[in-house]
Amino acid sequence: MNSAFYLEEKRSYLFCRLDSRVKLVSAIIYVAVVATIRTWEYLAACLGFYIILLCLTGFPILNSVRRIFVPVLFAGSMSAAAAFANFYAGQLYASVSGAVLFLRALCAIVVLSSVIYSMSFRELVFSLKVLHVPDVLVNLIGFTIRYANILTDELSRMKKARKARGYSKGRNFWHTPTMKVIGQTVAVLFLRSYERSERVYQAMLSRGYGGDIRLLSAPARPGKKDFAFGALVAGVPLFFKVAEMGAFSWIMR
Amino acid sequence: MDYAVEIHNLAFRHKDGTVALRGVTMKVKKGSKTAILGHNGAGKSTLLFHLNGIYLPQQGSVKILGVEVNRKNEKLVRKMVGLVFQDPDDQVFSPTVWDDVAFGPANFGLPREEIEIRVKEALRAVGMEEFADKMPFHLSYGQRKRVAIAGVLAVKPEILVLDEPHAFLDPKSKENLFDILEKENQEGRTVIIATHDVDFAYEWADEIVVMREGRVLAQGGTEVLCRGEIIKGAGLEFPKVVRFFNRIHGLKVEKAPKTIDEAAELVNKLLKNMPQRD
Repeated sequence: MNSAFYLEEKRSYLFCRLDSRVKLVSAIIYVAVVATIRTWEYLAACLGFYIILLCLTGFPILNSVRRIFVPVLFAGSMSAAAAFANFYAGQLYASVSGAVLFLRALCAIVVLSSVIYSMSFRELVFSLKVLHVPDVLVNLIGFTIRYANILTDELSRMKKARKARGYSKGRNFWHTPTMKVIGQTVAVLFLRSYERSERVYQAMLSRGYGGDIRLLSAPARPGKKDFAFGALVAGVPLFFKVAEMGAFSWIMR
Repeated sequence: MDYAVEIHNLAFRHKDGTVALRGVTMKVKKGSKTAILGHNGAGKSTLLFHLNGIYLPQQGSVKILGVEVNRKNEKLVRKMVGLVFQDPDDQVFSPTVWDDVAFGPANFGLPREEIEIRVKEALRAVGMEEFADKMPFHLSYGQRKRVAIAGVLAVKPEILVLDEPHAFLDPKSKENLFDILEKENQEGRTVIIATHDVDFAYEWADEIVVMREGRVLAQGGTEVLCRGEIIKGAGLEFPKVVRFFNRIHGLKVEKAPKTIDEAAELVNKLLKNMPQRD
């Protein structure tokens, strides 16, 4: 399990102390609006603004860079592929569209990862419940987080067992025996996960679980600080969107 | 006689076609300490799952404190019977120890104040009070096992059922578990365990059920574990104390000792009564 989810030290950052419901709703609005902005300058401004906000609220940005590395890499390669495809069509506009795509993805990754990192598991579940996310989906998210470490443990045990019997992986991607072993490992991991999920479900049933999530306590009502943060996070991309639509040029006239 | 569990002609077949139980009939006295023994695949775990209503009888009947286990009252049965799973990782899944212990009471709709009291009591009972805010995944296996037991104790079941409670535990954790089970039994709970550990069963239990291939091979007091045909038939081995006395030729004792301490006392007594040689 990602211990970052529960570390008490997070509570020392203002960003992490802000109301989880407000953070989640404002993050969703931010991502939704950013997804509609087409100008790369405005997107860069939205991203810059959010990063400044994180800094001001004491969020440990440098520690978080490693966590978002893989999704950013993925978003970068996909955007590059999109830009490259259009570049062949001979349009300058094409490379800009790649940058726009990348900036949109980057905004979404930074916002969502920082918000999720700042919450405890209980807060995340509570926020999703408040937002009327169906129980099935909340359960699904909950179990994924809870059991991520058990699966990685399982994987590392299998790895050790292989090593103990003299296995060493091949040096390149085309090494067939290595690929075969990886394939088998993934298959066994799926089977073991399935069996474990059955046992977990039985254990839950044995303690009276009936499919619904019961919240033992509700966090305090959001305060002025929370609402101010939410308004800023949701408001700034909205402002740029309105600007992009030409509203301000109309005022200037 | 008051019975906590009454099982009559219980049969069960798994979805994959494996027949796990073939007409099990047995009774467990209220307030007793019962050990169910048998080799792997004898049907012990499947039987335990019936006591908690996780599996419903396909044939025959199961009664818990006089209440028949069926779909209508499975929730009531789960309140009466607390089941501790063999692997605590199957059972303990919440982000903190406190949350996990509170899971059962919350599901049974108890108010927040009552849940807090019960969680505290249950954690105290297993000696894990100071770990309430810890993540279960950062605890040792033995500690996770204790959290799993606390999660069941918090529901305050009248019958406590444990599946292979000693599996993978170190000697210290086994000793802790022994103390917990003793305490719970002294407080009036019926305790049932499924185990391979004949030594523990012989020392701890007052009722023994031996299973083989989905059937009850023998049921009775701990003397069942001194009978060669039962031990051989079930693929078990004699308890160490019994083995020791069996190997002393010509020795006849009225009642076989149950613990090492009792055995030592008996040997000392025999040595004292032996004629002294010069």
